[in-house]
Amino acid sequence: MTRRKVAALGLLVGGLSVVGWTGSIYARGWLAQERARSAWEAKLARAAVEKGRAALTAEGPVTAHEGSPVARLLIPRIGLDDIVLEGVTEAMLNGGPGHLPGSVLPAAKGNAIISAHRDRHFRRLGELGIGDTIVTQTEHNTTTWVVKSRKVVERTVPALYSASEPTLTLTTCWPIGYLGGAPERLIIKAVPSTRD
Amino acid sequence: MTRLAIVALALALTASVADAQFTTVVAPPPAAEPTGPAPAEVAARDTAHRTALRDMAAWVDSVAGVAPAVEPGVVTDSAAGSLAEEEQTPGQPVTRFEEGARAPDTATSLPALLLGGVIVTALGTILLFSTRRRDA
Repeated sequence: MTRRKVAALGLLVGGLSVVGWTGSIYARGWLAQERARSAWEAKLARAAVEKGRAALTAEGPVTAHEGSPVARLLIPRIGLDDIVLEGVTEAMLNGGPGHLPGSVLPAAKGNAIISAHRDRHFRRLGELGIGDTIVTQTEHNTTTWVVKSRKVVERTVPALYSASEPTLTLTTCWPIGYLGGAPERLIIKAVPSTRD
Repeated sequence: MTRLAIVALALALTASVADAQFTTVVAPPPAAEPTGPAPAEVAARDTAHRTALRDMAAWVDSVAGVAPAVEPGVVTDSAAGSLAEEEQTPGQPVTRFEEGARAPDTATSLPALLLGGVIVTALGTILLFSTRRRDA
């Protein structure tokens, strides 16, 4: 076996290993999103039963377990329909958009913050403009939001604040569609257009 | 002459090594005799100091549950210190909402890694096929 052949085989094995490893992470994320969708549907069914028994309220911060589905996020403009998981750790964001613990659920009084990776669920978030529509569905209500503002800030800059009225904040890394570091963050804020 | 120079050079180079072989014993300094007051005396003095309280009025008020008087215009924030300590540092990942928090870190190196893996695989394939052609 020549040196050239050994080098070629080494490159092939190394390259395939990296592709396989990254592919497995993407595949795990896809599977996690599918599992979250099933869990979300089951949760909605349970909530419908509970609703008949007692009046539910969605006020205040969420106390959901990390990784549990907490909402469904739909953005027709960019063809997004994903289940939002509780938590913004690497494992959670691999499975779907993450709800920042400590912030309220969408439609509750306060700021509901949802973040996702720029190369996965929010890869088209940059196409969203002022006036576009976002729909969120929680166990308690479905809300239609209208994008009120979008801005790009440095990643170290304080960007998230509480709100006195229902507010939805979507964040992802910026620039989108760029390999390498992400020195900035895209922050999109929306307010309810109608209350369901 | 050359032999003398070699001996001189050897002595110069090995002087520090040779010196290290002949060490002297350095006697430790004699233990200092206790010259201060006896421990019992010290304890008595400490007790006397500890009972000397200042600002007795404030102390009595605090024990009685009376709020201390605050000078007008002076704002005290007892939580300020602890909040400053808990403030997120730029290196820490944001995992929970706090007032004025940074946006969570949503960048990964996966796309770059995937692209790198594809390029390396392609290079390996090209190299392998070119080697086979050459061998044939």
